[in-house]
Amino acid sequence: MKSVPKVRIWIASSFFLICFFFASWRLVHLQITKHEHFAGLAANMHGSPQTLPARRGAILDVRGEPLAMNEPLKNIIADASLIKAGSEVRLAAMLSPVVGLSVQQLLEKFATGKKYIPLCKKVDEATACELQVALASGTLRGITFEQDARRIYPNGNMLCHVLGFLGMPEAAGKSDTPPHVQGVQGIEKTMEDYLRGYDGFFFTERDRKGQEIVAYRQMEKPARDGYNVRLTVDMALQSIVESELDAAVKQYNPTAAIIILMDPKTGSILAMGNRPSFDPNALLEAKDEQMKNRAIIDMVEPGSTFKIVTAAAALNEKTATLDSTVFCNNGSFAYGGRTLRDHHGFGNLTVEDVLAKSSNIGSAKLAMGLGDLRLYEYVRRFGFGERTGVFLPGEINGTVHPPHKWSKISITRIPMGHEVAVTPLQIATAMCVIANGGKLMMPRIIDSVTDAEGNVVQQFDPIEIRRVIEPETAAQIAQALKKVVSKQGTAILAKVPGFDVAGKTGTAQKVDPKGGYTPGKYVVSFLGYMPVENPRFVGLVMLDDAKASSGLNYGGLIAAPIFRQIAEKAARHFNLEPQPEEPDSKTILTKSDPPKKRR
Amino acid sequence: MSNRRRHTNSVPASKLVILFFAAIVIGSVALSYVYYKHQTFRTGGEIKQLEREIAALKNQSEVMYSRITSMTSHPELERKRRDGIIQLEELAMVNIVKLNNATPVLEGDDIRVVSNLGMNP
Repeated sequence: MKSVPKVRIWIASSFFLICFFFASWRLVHLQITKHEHFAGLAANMHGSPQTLPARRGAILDVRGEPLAMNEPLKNIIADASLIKAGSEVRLAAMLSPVVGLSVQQLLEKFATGKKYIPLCKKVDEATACELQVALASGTLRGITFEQDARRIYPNGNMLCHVLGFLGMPEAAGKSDTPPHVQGVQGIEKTMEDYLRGYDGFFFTERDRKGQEIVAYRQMEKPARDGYNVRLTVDMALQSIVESELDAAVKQYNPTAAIIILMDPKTGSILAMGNRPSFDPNALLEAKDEQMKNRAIIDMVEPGSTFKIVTAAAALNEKTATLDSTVFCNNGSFAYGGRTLRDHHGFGNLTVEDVLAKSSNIGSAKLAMGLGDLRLYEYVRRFGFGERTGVFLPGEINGTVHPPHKWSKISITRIPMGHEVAVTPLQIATAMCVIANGGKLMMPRIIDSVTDAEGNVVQQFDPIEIRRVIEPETAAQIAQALKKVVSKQGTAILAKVPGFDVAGKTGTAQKVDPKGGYTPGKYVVSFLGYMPVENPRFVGLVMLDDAKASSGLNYGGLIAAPIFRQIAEKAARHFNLEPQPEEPDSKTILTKSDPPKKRR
Repeated sequence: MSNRRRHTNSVPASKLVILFFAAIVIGSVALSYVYYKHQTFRTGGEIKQLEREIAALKNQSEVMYSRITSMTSHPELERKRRDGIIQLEELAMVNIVKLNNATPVLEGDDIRVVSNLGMNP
């Protein structure tokens, strides 16, 4: 009789033990094995990730003047689930004048019950603050303010092609994540990784009023604001360039105009201006043609400015000296079945005079003395036919055909800047080689990248690509180019009183896209530097199809005076002291001076 | 008497004291917890308020900075000059003071230029 209760006790105990074991196992499974899963579910139900928006970095000029910056704005968002019943009409009436929607439209939006209803974007900070205060005083809830910003370019058109602008990426809408605006042109594009910054985030929980419970914040990661990018451009010089461009456009109405100023020692771009231009603050009004940075994407035949390359090659290879004489066939030289002509019939000219007088035949003969291969080698060593490497998007190589593709007359045409296509920046960079004693410097437009406190994150030092010619050769070419800007040369109008200027004019017929040249249309240019002894800047002035009478459409008459205007102002900016001029070198310009012939 | 003593309940004073103190300790801990929680929430609210104020100040500062920059930009200054709101005044040379460069600080055995004036007999 005693054994029956014992058995029952054992059965009951075992049953409870098994139940307890399973209950314990389940608890361990839920609490430990599946902890992360359920913690995540709980966080999703009560908490929400909150983005901490990063500010885009600014673009500054070399002195720290802001060129592109942000203006904080707010987006107004409604959460219909948090709006108190009965307060909808009052809330809608308060929002209506700010968001530009009628009370009825707002009420319809609230009635959807959605948690995220964008009401108005890009509301200025002051208006948003006033609305916030009004909502708080009226104890109205359900409205949140998202941080946003607008990119502004305080100088409008100035430097617009270099700065670029922001836009939606091409892949916008294809991915699940909301698209971020990003740089699509200029520095905004090339320095996107530095400028954009990285959003931060934190997970937080909210109470029933939608207010954040700060004590429950988790996994906070602060935003990293974008870095500031400091350019090598000096806005004082840029301002000079822009005003001269405006004056040139007003006077000559060219299809395009380009001015570049560079520091020859470092390759730094001090100013770069283009016409036509656009206002990056009003992109919708801009046309495609206005957005082109022609300094790096336009190919032109350089014309006579290219004679510098030929002469430098001949002197560096010692196939000629500065005093060597070249017979210029009295202005007509038959070669390869074609006749090459000079604007004047020259007899014997020294190499110095070949440059000063811009003789096509003299240049061709210097090139013939070098031979195809050596000429081609120097053209490439001066940086033509390859990208300069400047930190701007869309730069092109230009066109320099290898000798095996040359025609019989190429050796006489390339030395005077025909049969090659170069970018204006390549020409300016090539002149830097002469001005700095023979080194090809990479054009540099970024000086440094700094954080918000001004600490340098990355410094972009000058880069010497290669030595192109010996310093002695560069000095000899400089001497010849100095003569160009004298009464014996083609660019007397580029002379700046009190300073020695070296330079070279260029007048090239416009290439017709259908082949050949367009009659009556020219690309006129002047490429020079100052002071010759210690060059502070190299300048290129180029006007495409300037509307001037045919007797005046030359680089020496149109581009050279523009260079002079810029150089005079730049000299004051650099605080250069003018030297007293020697009486015999004084230049008196009168209206009776005959216009120079085409060079 | 003996029967009466046998029915008297003795008061366990020591146990009561222990229970009393235990209740006080537990109560204090609970109240502290509630107080701590309250303080945490209150501090959280203050943090949030401060964050808002800092963000608003930062935004206002940035708005002001962008406005100042726009108002002092090159095109704007040029426009003001054209409209006669501001004007450029030429500085006479006599009013310009040129400061000499500071004497560089030399270190170690660097040779410094000195004057022997007054040292010779």
